[in-house]
Amino acid sequence: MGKRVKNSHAYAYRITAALLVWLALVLWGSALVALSPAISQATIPGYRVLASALAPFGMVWAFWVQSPLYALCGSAGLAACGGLFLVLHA
Amino acid sequence: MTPARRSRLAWLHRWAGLVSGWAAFAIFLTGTLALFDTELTRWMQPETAIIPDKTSPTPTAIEHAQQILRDDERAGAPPSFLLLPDARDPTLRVLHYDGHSFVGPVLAPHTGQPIPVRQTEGGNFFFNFHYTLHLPNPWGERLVAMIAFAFAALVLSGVLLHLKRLVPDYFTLRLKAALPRSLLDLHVLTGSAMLPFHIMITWSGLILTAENALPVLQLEQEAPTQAEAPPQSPTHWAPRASLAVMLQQAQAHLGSMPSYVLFDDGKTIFSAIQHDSLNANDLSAEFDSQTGEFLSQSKEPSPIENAFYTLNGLHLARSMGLLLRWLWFAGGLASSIMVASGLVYYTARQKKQTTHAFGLAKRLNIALLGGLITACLSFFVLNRLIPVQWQARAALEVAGFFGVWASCLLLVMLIPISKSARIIAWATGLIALALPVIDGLSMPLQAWGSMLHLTVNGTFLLTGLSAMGSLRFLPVWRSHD
Repeated sequence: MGKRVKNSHAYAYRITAALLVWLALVLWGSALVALSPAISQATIPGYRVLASALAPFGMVWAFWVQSPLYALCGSAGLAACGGLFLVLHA
Repeated sequence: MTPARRSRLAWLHRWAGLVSGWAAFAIFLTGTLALFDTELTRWMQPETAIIPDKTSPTPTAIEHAQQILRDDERAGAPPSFLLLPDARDPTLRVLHYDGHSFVGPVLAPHTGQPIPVRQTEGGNFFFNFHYTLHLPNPWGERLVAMIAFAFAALVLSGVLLHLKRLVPDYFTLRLKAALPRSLLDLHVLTGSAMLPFHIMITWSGLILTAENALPVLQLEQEAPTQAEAPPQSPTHWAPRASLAVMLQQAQAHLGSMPSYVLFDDGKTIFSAIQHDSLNANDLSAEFDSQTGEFLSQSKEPSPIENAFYTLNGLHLARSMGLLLRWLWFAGGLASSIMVASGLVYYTARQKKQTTHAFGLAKRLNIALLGGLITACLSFFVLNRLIPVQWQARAALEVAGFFGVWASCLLLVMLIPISKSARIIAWATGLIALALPVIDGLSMPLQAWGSMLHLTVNGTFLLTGLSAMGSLRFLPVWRSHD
C-alpha cells in the first residue's frame, strides 16, 4: 500500500514535470521571439517547428530519468529560467 | 533499458493512450477521410457528374460568376470567394462562410449556368471534424492540439518500448493466437510498418496546431491605436474590372491555372496550388479590383518559411498527386488501426478485471470506435435518403451522424458487450454494403461507371466486407465479457 502511494506520488511528479517541460518550451520560445522583435514573423515558425520536435522528447524525458524529483526540479528550473529570460527581454 | 524505466514508459504509454486514444482515433479516421474531401463532396453531390473532368472555365462562366458576386455584394452579403475548376473538382463554385461551413452556388464551368446540387457539407465535414472535433472555436482546436501533444509522447514512448523488436515485429502477426496476442501484434505491426508516417503526420500536426499549443507570450501589451470595434464586412468587395481578363493575366503571371480567387481590401487575389508538390505555399497574383491593374506577385519564401510550408503540405496533402494521397490514406488507416487495436488490447489483456471503470472502458471502446465508423457511413446514407429539395438537409446530415453515434453509445450501455459489438459490426457491414446499391439507384445516369463513384463505392464495399469479416473474431470477445 505504502509503495503504491509512493509510486502514485512519483507519477504525479513526473506528469507535472512533463507539463513544466511544455511550459518551459513556451517561455523560452516567447523569450527568443521577444529578443528579436524585428524578425519575429520569421522566428515564430522556426520556434514552433523546433519546439514541436522537442516537446515529445521533453515529455518522455520526465519519465526516462530515474528520480522523479530530478525530473520535477529540472523542468521547473528550465521553466523558471525561460520565464526570467522572457521578463528580462520583454 | 532497465525494467524500472521500461515500466515507467509503459505507464506513460498506457495512460496517455487511454486519455487521448478515443479522440485520437476520431481525429485519425476523419483525417484519413478528409484526404479525399473534395472527391467525397462530389460523390455527395452526384448532380455535378454531368460536368466532364478537366473542363476549363470559359470567359462566359467567369462573367456569370462575377455577376453572382455583384448581386451578393448588393444584397449586403459578406465577401465570397471563387473555387476554380481543377483536376479534383471540375465545377466552378462561388462560396461564402455561413458560420458553419462554406456554401454557395455551383456553376458549370463551360456555360456558367447554376447546377441544382443538393446542399451538403460533404467532405468538408470530415475535414472540420478532424481539427475541431465539431466543438466551438477555439476549444475544439485547443483540445485537438492537446491530444496531438499527448499522441506525440505516445508514439515516442511506444517506439522506445518496442525498439529492440522493431525489425522482428515487422513480420509478426498471429491472428489465430489468443485475442490479446493478436491485438498486440496488430498494434505493433501497424505501428512499426508505418512508423515514418506516424512520426511525420504527428509532428506536422503538432506544427499545424502549434498556434494553440505553443503560444507566443507577450508581456508588453501593444497600446491600442483606436477603439476596438467589431470587424465589419466591407461594403464594396466584388470586382468591377473584368474577372475573365484578370484571370487570363493571372494565369500568365503564375504559369499555371489559379485554383481560387479571393476578394480583399479592394484587391482581387488569384492563388494557384502548386500541384504534384509537397509545398503548401500557394503562388498568388494581386490585381486592383476597380481597374484590373496587376499589382504584385507572391515573393519567394525564406528557407524557414519554405520548411514550414512543406511540413504543412505533408500534413494537409492538398497539393500532392493521387498516388501519394492514396499512400497517405493507407498511412491514416494504419494509424487508426494502431490506435484502435491498442485501446482494445488494453481491455482484452486484463480478463480478470471487473471494476466498473474497466467495464466502462470496454463499452466505450465499442461505442466510440465501432460507433464512429457506423456514424460516418450513416452520414453518406443520409445524403442519399434526405430529399434533395429540403433546405436544412446539410444540418440534418450532420445531426444524423451524431444521432447514430449517440445511439451506438446508448446501445452499448444498455446491452451486454459481446451482443452490442455484434450488432454494431452487423450494422456497419449492412450499411456499407447497401451504400453502393443506394448510390446506383439514386445517382444520375452520367455518374454511372465514373471512376469517382466506382472508387468510393468500392471502398464502401471493402469496409462492409471487413465489418462482416470482423464478426468471425467477435465470438472470442465473449470470453472477455
